[in-house]
Parts: sequence; structure tokens; C-alpha cells
Amino acid sequence: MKKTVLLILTSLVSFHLAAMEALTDSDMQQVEGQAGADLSLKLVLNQINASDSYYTTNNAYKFDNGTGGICEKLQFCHLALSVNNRYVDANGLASSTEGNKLWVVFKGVQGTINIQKLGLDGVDLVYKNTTAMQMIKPSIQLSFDANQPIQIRNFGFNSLSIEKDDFTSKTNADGTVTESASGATESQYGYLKANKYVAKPQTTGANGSTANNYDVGRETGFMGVQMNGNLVLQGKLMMFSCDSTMNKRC
Amino acid sequence: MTTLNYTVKFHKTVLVSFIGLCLSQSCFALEEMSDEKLSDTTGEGIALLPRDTYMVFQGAGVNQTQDTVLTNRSLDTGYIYYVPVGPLSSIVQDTNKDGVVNASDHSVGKADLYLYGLALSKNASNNANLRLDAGSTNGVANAAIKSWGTATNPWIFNVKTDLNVPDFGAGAGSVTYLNFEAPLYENLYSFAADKKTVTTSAFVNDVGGEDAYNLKLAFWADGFVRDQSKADKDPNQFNLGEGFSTTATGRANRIRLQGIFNGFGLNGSKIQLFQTLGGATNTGGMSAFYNNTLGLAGVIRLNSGDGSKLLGTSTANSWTAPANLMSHVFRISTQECGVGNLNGCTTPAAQDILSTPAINGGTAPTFSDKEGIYIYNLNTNLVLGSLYQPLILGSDGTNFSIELARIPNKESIYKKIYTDYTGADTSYTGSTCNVYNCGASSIAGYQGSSATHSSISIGTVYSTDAGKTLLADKSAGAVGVSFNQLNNATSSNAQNNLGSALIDGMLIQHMKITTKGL
Repeated sequence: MKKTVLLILTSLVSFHLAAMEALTDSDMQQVEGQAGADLSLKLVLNQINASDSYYTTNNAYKFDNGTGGICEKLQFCHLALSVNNRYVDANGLASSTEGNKLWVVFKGVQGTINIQKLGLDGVDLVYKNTTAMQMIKPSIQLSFDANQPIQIRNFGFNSLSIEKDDFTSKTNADGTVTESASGATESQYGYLKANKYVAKPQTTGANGSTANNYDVGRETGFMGVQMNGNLVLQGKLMMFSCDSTMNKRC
Repeated sequence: MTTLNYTVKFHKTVLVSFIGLCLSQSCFALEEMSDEKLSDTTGEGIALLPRDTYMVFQGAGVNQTQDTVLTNRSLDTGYIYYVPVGPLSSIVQDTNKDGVVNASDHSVGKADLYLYGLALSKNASNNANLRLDAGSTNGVANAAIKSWGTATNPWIFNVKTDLNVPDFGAGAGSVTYLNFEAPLYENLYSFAADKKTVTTSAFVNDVGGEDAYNLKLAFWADGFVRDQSKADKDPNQFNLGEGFSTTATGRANRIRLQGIFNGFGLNGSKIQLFQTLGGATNTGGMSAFYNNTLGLAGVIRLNSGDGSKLLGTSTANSWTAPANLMSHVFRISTQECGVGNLNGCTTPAAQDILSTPAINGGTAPTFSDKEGIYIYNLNTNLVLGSLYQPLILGSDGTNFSIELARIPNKESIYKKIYTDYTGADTSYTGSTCNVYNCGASSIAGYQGSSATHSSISIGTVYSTDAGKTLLADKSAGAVGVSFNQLNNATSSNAQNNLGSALIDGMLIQHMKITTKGL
């Protein structure tokens, strides 16, 4: 009795191990594809959304920088990029080895993108090869419908700025980057600088200027971008592996 | 109360054996791949092929049916707004350059720019006043690009490595780059023995992908002069007067325009992203700043096709424009239809001179169909750098710069870039990218993309050396740029025909663009 149980149990676990093998295109073609999925994706980035207690229809799609909002501290709603080895040295000159590290900072990054319908299917892409033989290639098909446009609301950033760290860093021989001295504080990092413009009265003379009231309260920088509208996109995008038998560029 | 009753009792040894058996399967840990192994792997990349596709950026609102999208152009109010941030400097406000900013200067405003209704589609009706062609056939819009490329000539996104790329110093290295390529340009053009007469053959490799050579790009835009002394949304925000810090209503502080580019293709374009090699020092005009940073290189090709046969007929008292001029034209126009329009489109009423849908709501304007600047058969082939002459980004901490690295004084680099136009010294391998060819091609049936010089041609342009260099046609039949549409005339040439234009063999030795006063 006990041996039988052991035998049964052993047979249960004696499954075969086999290495994974590449599926050929013709194998893939044998698989019966079922209808794909329709996805809808909505991204709300740093904006007041329907689940906020202070949401009203009037402040929908607005930058969430009020008291208690996720961007109340503006420095945490930045998107910053630092390109490899870009520094400014002590003389204010560009350096690719050592100095104050430079950042491209997108300030007040925000937006809502609502993809109402994204069709995701697997399809056979039929084509003729160089010898005019009909070939089949499995492909992912993403499809969009004109009558369900992608809704884009206030997508963009409030200002774009070049910032630098207040401390120096250097690129080591192995390509890694280290800060020259430890102990840098939060506000010394270029990407966490959140300076704002203040109102300026009109002045005349050598350094004169008309008053500046437009920028008041905006984060410093030189350009902002804001997109608004319904992006009507119709069509199918086939994505497939690019192999050298069908395309010499791969 | 429930209790569990076992009918089979296990000996501990049985249980242990069972667990042991379960565990005694062969397990393979993940192992690190060496760089050598990785470099043996063929990077196949992702091929992308858009089909039956078009796009148009319409105003925020309810969903529309495809029929409405295709026919109602007044809905094209989706916009991209370029917000002017940062105060004006004193230098720009000192318009009379007397060293002081005061009432003797003209006013200077900031620029608000709204780009509306961006649309990309197939040019289905050669209409240079329509941003998206109407109608559909069997449920597929006439404006849809049937196949942007083909299965064997698709868009490609991959990673490649070029070995033995010369660096800025004495050495060389391998450069791995992220590569994004449009479909290749099929080799459609062949020259007769006279090296001048072009034959445009029918598509062979790109059958089914012809639409890629006949695209339509369209947009319209509003640009405002903004008074920075007024807060955002102030009623006078766009009422900047003529003098320093003055306000005046009724001024036309807005430019409104529409741009439509019919019948072009992007084929043959590519962009490469990589880390630059090292070796540059601050000597010989070079800069150590070129070393080991993000580099960009690309070929941007916007081609309308062969322009050598685009000729009108001129006699002593008649001039006949070439046929189908609107099939390959880039038109920028500013005039709206409305009361008093000289071109006859007197309805609907023109919008207010300071109105724009992003602020005031409403619909897209209706533009007059005859006015504007027409640029016929534009072929733009821009070569921006290469793996050994990259485009790099820089900054001094506030301003930024875009720099195309200087060509080093190094034979292995400059011989790849410079051209010997006589053909006597074949070790100089540079060439010009134009509509007929773009460097040597390794793929049969398609043009290459390895050329080093740029070319921009407008209108009637031909070659006398089988496509290596171009010449602008100077005959009376030549066309290129015109203000207002070209029409037949009863004199030897149309009065508004400005003729063809050409920039050929343009090589960028070193270019740096820097912003000031940010």
C-alpha cells in the first residue's frame, strides 16, 4: 500500500525537462489566434484628478500644486536629464570630465493622456520575399480608431531650464560618476531647484526693462509646452522582428 | 465541530522521499552573459509598419465619427502651445541701440505660439488648401496612408555597432548606437548616357508602399505679440502698443498662417544616438568637450521627387504653367476668407484680429485658397553629422548650445567627408545627398544613406553628371517659388514666377548654435 502510494506520487513528479526551442514562423502559423484585446489607458500626471477631495469640474486637468497637492513642493514635479559628461568647471567653461554637473530640467511636468481604445492583436503579415515567394511573418498589431481619439489635456511642462549642481562631480576612468565631496544637501542638486519669478516694476536706463507681471509665480526657465486636444489617429501599426532574411538592414 | 480524519497514514520516510523527489529537479541558475557572447548575438531590432493610417489633432471635445473627422476642418483646433517663459533682456528692449531703455525705444513683446491642427496623411487630391482629404472608399479614408513602407522595407528601430570608427585623436574605436530609420528610398531614377536625362521607373521593391512617397503634412498657427507687463489672461495681454511700455487696442498683434506640404516622402531618413568617442584636446580648433558624451547624427530627407521635367512652356506672348503643380508643393498662406476678400471667398466671416480658439474658443478659420507663398517640388536632404562628426549638446550653466563637432585634421576622417568633384582622387569618399542618390548603397534596389553633404532644391533642377551635383534650371519655363498660385500668362513668363532655387553640396565643417541671455 505504501509502496503503491510512493509509486503514484513518483509518477506525478517525473515530468520531463526540455530546453526551450525557437518556434519557427510556420509553427506560429499553426496556432489559432483568438481575437485580441482592446485596451484603454489613462495617464494622469501631476494633475488634479477625480479621486482628489478638492476636485471640481472647474479644476480638472489643472496642475496639482495647491496646499496638500502632489506638487505643492514644486521641486518634486520635475523631470531632469543629465547628458553623459556635461560639466561646467570653476572658470565657467564647459568640461567633459569634472565640474558642476549640468541638468536639463522640465519643470511642472504634467498632463492627462487618455487612450480610449488601443487594439492589441496578433496577426500574420503576408509578404513576398526576394524570390517572389509568399511568406508569412507573425506580427503584433496595434490599432487606433478615428472615432475614439486619444484625449490629451494640458500635457507638457511649465518651463524648461538648464540647471547645475552647486557642488562638483567628476567622471572616473571607468566611466562612473562620483561627487567630489560628500554631504551635498537637497537644495544643492540642480534638478531640485525650484526658483520662481517675482513681479518686476518698469525701469528705464542702461539696464531698463518694461514691467514683468506675466511670469510671476512661474518657475524659472525659457520655454513651456502645453498640448490640448483630441488626437485623431486612425490605422494599424504592425510590429515584428526584423530579421536579415526579410530585410538586409537588420 | 469538524475534525479531519485521514484514511491514509504516511510514514515519515515516504513523505521525506516525496519532498526529496519534488526538489531533486535540475535547476539552472541564470548566468551572466559576457560581452563577447552578447556581441555575437545578432541584433534584429523591431520593424514598424503603419498601415491605413492618418492623424489630425482636433479640438478637445466629444468623440466624432470618422466621416465628421474627414470632412469638418473647422474642428482642427487641437493645439501645441509654446509658452514664452522668462523676462525680456534689456539688450533686446533697447531697439534704437542708444544704450538706454526708455520711451525713445519701440515696444518689444514676447511671442506666444499656438500650433493647431497638425495633420499627417496621404495627399489624395493635390489640394493645397485642404489639411486632410475628405471621403472614404470601402470604409478606408482616402487620406489614409495605405502602407508607410512595406514588410520588407519597414521603419526600423534597432541597435547597431560600427567597428573601427576613427576618434577625435589618433585612435579608433567601436561605436554602438541606437538607430531609428524610416523606410529606404527606392532607387527610382536612372540617367541616360548623356548623364542628364532622367527616367523615373515604376516601383518594383516598394509596390504597395507608394503612399510613403506622397504624404501630406499640414498645420495652421497663431502667433501673438505678448505684453509681458500684463499678467496672464489680462484683457490687454496682446494689446502691446508701438512705443516702450504702451498699450493700444486694435493693433494686429497676431500672425495667422497655414502650412500645407503636399506630395513628399520621408524615405531614407534616419537618426542615430550614441556616446561619442574620445581623443579630442583643446588644440587644433577641437574641444575636449566633444569627448564621451551624448552624440547625435542623422539624415533628414524630405523629397518631392525628380524636378528636371517640371517645365512650363514659354513663347513671346504666352506662358503655360507645368501641369499638376499642386501635387508637390509646400504652401504657406495667411489670408482668411471673409468680407472683401479679393480672391472671392467672402464667406464665412473672418475671425477677430486677436482671436484664437485656444483662448476664445470657436472653430478653426477658413483660409483663402489662392494666396500665399508656393514652394514647388521641394527636395530637402540634410546630413547632420556622422558617428565621427557628432552633434552634441552643451551648456555654460544657464544657456545651452547645440554643436556639430569640427571635422578633425585627421586623414581617416576628412577623407570620408570631403569630395573630390573631379573624381581624380577616389580616396575622398564624401558625396552629396539629393533626390537621385544619397551615397553608396549596400542594398540592391534602394538608395544609400551614407552621403556627407546636404542639398536643398526648389522647383526645376537638373543634373549634368548623373545625379552627383545639381544645377538650377534658368530657362523661361523653370518654376520654383511663386507668390500666389502660378497661372498661365499672356506674356513670356508669369509675373509672380520667381524661378527655381538650389543649395547644393553643403558641408557643415563646424557649427555651434548658442542661446543668449537666458
